[in-house]
Amino acid sequence: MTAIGVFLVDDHALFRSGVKAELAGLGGTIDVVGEAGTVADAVRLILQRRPDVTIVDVHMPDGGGRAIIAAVVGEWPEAVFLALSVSDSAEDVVAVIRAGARGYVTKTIDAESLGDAIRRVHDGDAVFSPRLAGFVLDAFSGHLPSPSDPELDQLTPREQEVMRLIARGYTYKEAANTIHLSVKTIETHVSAVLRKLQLSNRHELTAWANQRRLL
Amino acid sequence: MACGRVDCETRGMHRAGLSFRRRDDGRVVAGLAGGFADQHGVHARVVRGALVVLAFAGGVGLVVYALLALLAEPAAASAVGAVGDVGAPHPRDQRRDAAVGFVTLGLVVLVRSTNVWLGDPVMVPLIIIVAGVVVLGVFGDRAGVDVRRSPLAAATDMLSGRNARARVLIGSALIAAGLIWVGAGRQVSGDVRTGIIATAASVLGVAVLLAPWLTRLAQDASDERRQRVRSEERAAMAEHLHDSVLQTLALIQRSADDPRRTITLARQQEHELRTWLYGDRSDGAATLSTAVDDLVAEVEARHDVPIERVVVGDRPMDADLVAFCGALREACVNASRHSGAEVVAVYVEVLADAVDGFVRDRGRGFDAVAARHPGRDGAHRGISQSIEARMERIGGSSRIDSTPGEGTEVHLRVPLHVDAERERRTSPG
Repeated sequence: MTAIGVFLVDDHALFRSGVKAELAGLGGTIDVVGEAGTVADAVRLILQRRPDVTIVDVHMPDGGGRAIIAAVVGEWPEAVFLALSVSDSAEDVVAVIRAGARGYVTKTIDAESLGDAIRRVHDGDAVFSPRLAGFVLDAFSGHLPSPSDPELDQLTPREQEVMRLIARGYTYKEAANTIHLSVKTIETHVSAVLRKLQLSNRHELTAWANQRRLL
Repeated sequence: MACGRVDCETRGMHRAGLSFRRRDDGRVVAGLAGGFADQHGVHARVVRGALVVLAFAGGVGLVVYALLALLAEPAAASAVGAVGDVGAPHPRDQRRDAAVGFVTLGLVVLVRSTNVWLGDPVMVPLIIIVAGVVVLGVFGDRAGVDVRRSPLAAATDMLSGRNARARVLIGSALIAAGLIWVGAGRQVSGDVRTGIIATAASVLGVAVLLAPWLTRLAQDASDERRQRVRSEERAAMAEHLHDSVLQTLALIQRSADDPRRTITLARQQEHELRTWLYGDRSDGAATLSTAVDDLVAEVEARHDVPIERVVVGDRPMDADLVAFCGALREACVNASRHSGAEVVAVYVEVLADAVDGFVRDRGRGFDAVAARHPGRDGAHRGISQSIEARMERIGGSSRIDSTPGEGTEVHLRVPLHVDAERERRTSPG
């Protein structure tokens, strides 16, 4: 297996070196090919080095993950992003996902799970942290006053079930065992949810975030 | 226990009783009337007026003032915490002003039946004049001590602000009426009577002339009060940041070699700051999500284990949800204390007809069947009492799945008894 080339973006140098050390401890399956502390540096270096996966911070002084994804995807649509952040507001996280990140994990994640998450987004699947799964359930499961917009796809019962298990802290493997599905099927459901989240009407998500006083 | 309760009640009486602190600023004689007024939610000028009236009623006022001097604690500024705590001041309440007035009248009527009474022709106008003076606010008061707390306090505010003109007119009318009463008295000679009536008329005239100016004065005072409230708010914010963020940063620096402690401190502070910045600042959790946030933060702080929490939906707290949160808290404490897991996950979701709660850890797990029957050592009593019994009492259910070596998940569910319409209205907010 060739190592996955990862690019790190975070405005805290200390945090970058910590993540780098942890990823290096995973036995050479992940190779950090570059890092940046500002949006401008990140965009330039990502386009130059073409990493397999870019890990972006949601919140940075000059725009954060959303700005980077928007700038990179314009020139290189195949770029793959994973958002890594402290517990941010639902609106910020959802905005980064909608900009094109294939997953969101919190900084409290352990090295092994982070490695899993990187491999997963690299393989084209989605990665949900419990927190993001909670946001999604909140936004899709009827807590909006009038989800009348046909654009806003509802989650299937199975997708809801998977989201609930992830929100409860289950890994994909544990979730698969609990509802007697294969990990691959769980990944398919999660990717479908991610697509719905990225396609859903922006206005309604904003209204939802407003209502929960998350803005 | 009986004696414990008595002690408690005596202390309670002391706190709610007559004790108070002398006023240091804004005092007239010894700061006694003002201090009493501050503590008991009365206007200082009402207390002062009552004392003046009673002083003429056979010197009762002087006795009362002496009693106040005995009851008073020294001024707050000079002795914070040095003397016994006098309890929290009562918020301003006009009913309390009225109460002081009625007590005064009662005492006056009582004194009237004794032979130290100066006689109705003197006392009745005196009382009316003092009442007018009190309404006019000549004795002065510390404006703006009371932040708006109730509609009544708002009414008080209006009295000193927009309705200043009405107050001036009513006060002047009372004073004039008192003077006319004196003038009309039979023991007063003709010349004096004319003089008094002229004085009364002048008081009324001057009052009408000065009303706009007095109104503006009151307006300025309320502007100044608004400014003071603003600067007080800024001071409160600085104070809050100092007490919370700066203290935590100091603690983090000191415990830099203990990453677990550092993480807990940082998470705790983050939670606290978020609540303060964006949350409801009212005390006590008003909704389920804030209640869950609070209990999670508390358990995290006490047991140094990070807890990932996810809450979907929300609703106002009620008695059932308080019990539900109690059981949820116990499950979190168990997971933090006994599982040995690095992190605990809490998930709460408000469904259409129930609230679901899950507490999950990937710790060492235990034999759930054995744990259901408390051992001789009383271990695991928390599960049967704090979780299962609590959930049964509110008509809910609890289930504990645990596999030794793999972890534990506690599932709590409480049914909701609300009509669908209300549920729909309250759940997103």
